[in-house]
Amino acid sequence: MSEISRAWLLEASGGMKFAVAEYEMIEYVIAPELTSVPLTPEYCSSIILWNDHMVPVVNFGILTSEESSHMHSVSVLAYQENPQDDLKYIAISLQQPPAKVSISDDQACDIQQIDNDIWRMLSISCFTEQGIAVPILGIKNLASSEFSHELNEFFNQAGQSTDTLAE
Amino acid sequence: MISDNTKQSAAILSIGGLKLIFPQSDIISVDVVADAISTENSNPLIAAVLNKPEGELPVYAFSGELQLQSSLTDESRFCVCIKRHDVYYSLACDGVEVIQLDSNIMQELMPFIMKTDNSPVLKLMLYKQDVVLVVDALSVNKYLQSVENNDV
Repeated sequence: MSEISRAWLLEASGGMKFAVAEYEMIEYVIAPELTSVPLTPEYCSSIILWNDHMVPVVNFGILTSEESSHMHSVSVLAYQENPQDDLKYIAISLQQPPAKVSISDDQACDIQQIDNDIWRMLSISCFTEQGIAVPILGIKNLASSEFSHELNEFFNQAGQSTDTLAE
Repeated sequence: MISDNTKQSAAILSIGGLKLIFPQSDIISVDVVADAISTENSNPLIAAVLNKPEGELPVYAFSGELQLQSSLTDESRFCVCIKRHDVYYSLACDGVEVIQLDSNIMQELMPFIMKTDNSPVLKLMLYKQDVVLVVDALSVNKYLQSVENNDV
């Protein structure tokens, strides 16, 4: 009998569906109050004040060059750099409310089936949902210096547009 | 969260809704903006100069988005003179508040995903429910240099 895991299925601004483990999503915030931070990348240019934490908000709508980048709501996600460390937080803008799902091992699929470079970089695994490969987000990957470095490299290349990243 | 039990002084500069905090040790004087001489049209990156015993000190004016302005704004009240080692310049601001930093004031390193190469912001600080950008004399100087070199 295959193992079942509980998860949240989320739809990021820009339309990409992804999942996080049930315990990793701490709060769903509707119409968050954003504070802009100057000289930051457009895809992460603001923070929310949440439970006395300053939480960066990632807008995948801008990152993947989709038209729909309006921030209706965000999910606050928790992660640890190392098991003994304090929790850290990062938020992702969403265009649909989260849905709780059960994922069985039978649904597991190859990360290469994810049809987006950025999400492939960020995923720790994936599963199929209605025939589509849904990435399971490695939140630590999203917050890592390596990922930021790779994004900066992409954007610093002459003539590089965000369209290329989305394909 | 970064905790430091040693109380240190720091100065918060208010600039068009933006708040920058410098270590107090980086600030050597605060002049009223009336002492500054406008340099409008001579160098678009320098808003004014202050006459100091050492010579003319450039006064930079930031917008609320940390973009350099070519002139002082109507809200500018002070020119804060900033010095560390050979780095010496002045920033125009609307207000200055000196505070004592302690472990109750939350500071967090700038998240990797928010970093850009030229940003002078080292940390984010939460003070009286305002987000304050933690900088120092050298990080702002590096940013000023990158703007002057057209790297931004």
